[in-house]
Amino acid sequence: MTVVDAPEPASARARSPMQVFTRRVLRSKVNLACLVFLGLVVVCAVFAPLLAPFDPNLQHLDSRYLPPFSGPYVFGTDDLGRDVLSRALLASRVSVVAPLISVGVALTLGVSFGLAAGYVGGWVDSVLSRLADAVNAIPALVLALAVIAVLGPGLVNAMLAVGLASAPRLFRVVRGATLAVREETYIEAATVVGCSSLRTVAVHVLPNVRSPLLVQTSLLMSFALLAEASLSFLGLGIQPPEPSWGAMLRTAFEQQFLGPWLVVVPGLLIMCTVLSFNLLGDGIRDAIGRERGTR
Amino acid sequence: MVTIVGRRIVAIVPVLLIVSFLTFSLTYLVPGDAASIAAGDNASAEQIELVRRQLGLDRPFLAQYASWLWHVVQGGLGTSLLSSRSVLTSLTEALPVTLSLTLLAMLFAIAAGLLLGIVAGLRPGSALDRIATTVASLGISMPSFWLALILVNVVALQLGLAPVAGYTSIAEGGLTGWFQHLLLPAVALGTITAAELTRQTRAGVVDVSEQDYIRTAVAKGLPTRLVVVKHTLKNAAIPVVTVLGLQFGGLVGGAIVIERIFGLPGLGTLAIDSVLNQDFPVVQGLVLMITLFVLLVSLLVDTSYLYFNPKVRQS
Repeated sequence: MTVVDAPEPASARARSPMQVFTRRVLRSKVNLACLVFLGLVVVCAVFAPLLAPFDPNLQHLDSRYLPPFSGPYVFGTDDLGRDVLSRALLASRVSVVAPLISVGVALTLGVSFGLAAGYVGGWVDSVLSRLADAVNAIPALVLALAVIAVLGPGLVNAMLAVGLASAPRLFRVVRGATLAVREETYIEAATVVGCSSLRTVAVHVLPNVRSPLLVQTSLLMSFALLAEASLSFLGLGIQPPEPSWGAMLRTAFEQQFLGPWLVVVPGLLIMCTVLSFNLLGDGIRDAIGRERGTR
Repeated sequence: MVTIVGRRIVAIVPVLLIVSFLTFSLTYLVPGDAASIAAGDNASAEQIELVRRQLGLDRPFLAQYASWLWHVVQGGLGTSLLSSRSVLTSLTEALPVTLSLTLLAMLFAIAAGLLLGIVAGLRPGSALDRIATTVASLGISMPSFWLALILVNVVALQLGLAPVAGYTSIAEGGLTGWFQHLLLPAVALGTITAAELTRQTRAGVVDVSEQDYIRTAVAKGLPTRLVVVKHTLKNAAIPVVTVLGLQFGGLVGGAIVIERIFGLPGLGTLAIDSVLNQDFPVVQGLVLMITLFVLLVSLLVDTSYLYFNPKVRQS
């Protein structure tokens, strides 16, 4: 996303659309709370080694299966006596990076092909749309499994697959928005003035696609996080001993007789993060709606 | 009406063709050599070559695709590299389990989602509405396998109200045994869909309730029950059915994880085993079969529009 680079005049009236948009999004307390929570997750991810009271992979074999609030282990310990809090903190790194990989792949494929299909039209549009339909017909997790069968288990492979599977959704949004503005007068004007197709698309079409794209990106982040958790839970994502919230739930599943409380913390963290991305997506959509309404 | 449905069926064909091509290409992206995997660990170079010729792996790519597709259309999905069993047999054995699970999950989602959505939508802003909306928001964000773990822990292990894991078919355990084993998995799997349906139903009911024809129906003295069922719900149903169709793919994906937790011998368990062992004929068969089901469900959804929306019938 581009940041407004031109310095704004000091007068309160002349605000860029971006500033108006940001102001609308931040006016809602729910959006603000979501942003604060997601900010906290990012801070935990960046400073995990400093915040963690123990080495996340260090095994305290004399203090295994400790319930929460036992001495120095605030969230207890797992089957190998590793501190759950420290592991949850380190795992937040995976939760920040893994969805970004998927969203990056989905944005690259979805936006470029979507713009091409919508702007060029004709057979390019038909071919790309059929391809998107086909990929979209395969459930995302099933496609991810197929790609992992080829490339082998691992976090990056899993997230690439999830990104590929989510690209058609972005493709449709971008293609639709591009089709909607293609016949506008200002696009024609840009062509008449001699803008190259690439410049027309980048400078005049893309900004119109930005808002719906932002909503989809937020929803995609939550989807990718859930997919990462599912795949790591199945042992196809991140590999032990590295922690992710999904992988911690796998441990909890294997040890459900001895440490039933192990299921609580990672699950709650996944739920709150996913909830924040979902609510933020809804909030941005509402803000855009109001933006349209006032024009 | 027949032409609309017919056109839809014809539109599925190219999509299935592309999916089949993508699935077939999968084997070509593998770093390992399919012939040496099939020949086993201790095979000599000649044996591998023999297997390669037997499997037809020495022919050009498109020729292989064409003959593979020809077999697939006739129901021949090949044999598993691992167990040497027919892929179709493995799939048809696992299919009833996954179908039972997704179907029950869907029924739970429809019952819970419609109920919560209608209750919330008829009185927007009420305490009940706020509770239903909050529950729905939480439900959408909850990983289904986390809910499954909690349910196993509380309902099965602590309270002993349901079996912890396993599957019995209707033939073996009767309807009750089948239902008991699938109840927890279906609730865990269906919750996300239930939450999504709650939101859609609520939005639809709120939207439709403000329309003039509802006011007319109330004004002419129709009983509330009749207004809600015949006028409000039928018109609010279109987005709800759409969401249900869109959610089906997600349900199948979620079933893979849920089956693992409850030890159900369905398509998901088959998928994980074949993915971990690079058993490509099975992976290909799974992708094709699941995609076919997803497309059939979307066809069903499109057809149901004809019932709910008379405008579609005429166009």
